[in-house]
Amino acid sequence: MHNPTQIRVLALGLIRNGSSTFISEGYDPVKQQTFYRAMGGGVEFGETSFEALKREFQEEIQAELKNIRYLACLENIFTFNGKSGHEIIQLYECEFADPKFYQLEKFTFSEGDRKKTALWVEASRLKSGELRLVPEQFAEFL
Amino acid sequence: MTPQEKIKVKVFGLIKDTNQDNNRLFVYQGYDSIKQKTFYRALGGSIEFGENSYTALKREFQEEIQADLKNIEYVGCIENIFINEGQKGHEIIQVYQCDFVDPKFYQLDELTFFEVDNTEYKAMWIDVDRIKSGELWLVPSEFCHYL
Repeated sequence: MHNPTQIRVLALGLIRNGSSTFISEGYDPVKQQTFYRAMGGGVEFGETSFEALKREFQEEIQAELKNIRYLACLENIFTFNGKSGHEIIQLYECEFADPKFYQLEKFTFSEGDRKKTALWVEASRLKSGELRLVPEQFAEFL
Repeated sequence: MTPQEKIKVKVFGLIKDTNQDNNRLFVYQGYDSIKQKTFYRALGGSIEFGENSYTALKREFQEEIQADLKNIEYVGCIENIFINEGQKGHEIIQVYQCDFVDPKFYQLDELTFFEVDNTEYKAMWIDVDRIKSGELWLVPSEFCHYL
């Protein structure tokens, strides 16, 4: 299990469809706020972030990715659910191999024992701050 | 999971000296006793929880060789999965290009310093040409892209 005072290394995928972005929805019970973040997950020991990105999309929504391109590394130091967190995010831009993912509006998937939702959201709603995007630096890549 | 099996998040300072026909890089020397090979590596260290890489870079150079840095510019991130001393390692390295504030560091030939575990290291300037030719082994090899 992940140590709460350890820096986590993540691989996240930015997927666009016209003016929409594919994003997962989360909720911070302490801030009582819904937030949105790109999908992906933790990089495992001995695994490159590129491999981790593909594995996470496979595990979470059984999606294959194509045209994967590295964008940047983001350092995110934050508070979530009243606890401090620290992440290093390897951010990639990519596309779904299967066109069906561009047709669905919303997906429900499981992350461990939690049910999560991923959906297409208008990038302008994330950029304007109407919907809370985490980490904030992510907005410059939309 | 053994304690070694954790991704380490690090920051390195890429310090070049290109004055007066020089083309040198500031590194420290290490030795892999299993590969029986000397290697060279940029200085820096681990990023602490809650600390950004920029702050960690300045702190590490202070702690290790009491040096202030200037002109600090981010250059990129390296993922390094390797074997050292027969053990598998995995690092994510934030790389910054920078200069020493104090000119005395550009005059030194060699500098001894100690890590927190009291291991003794030697820091020095090495010719970039000797790295590029393969005569000197710089790790990780991706670091060569920034030379």
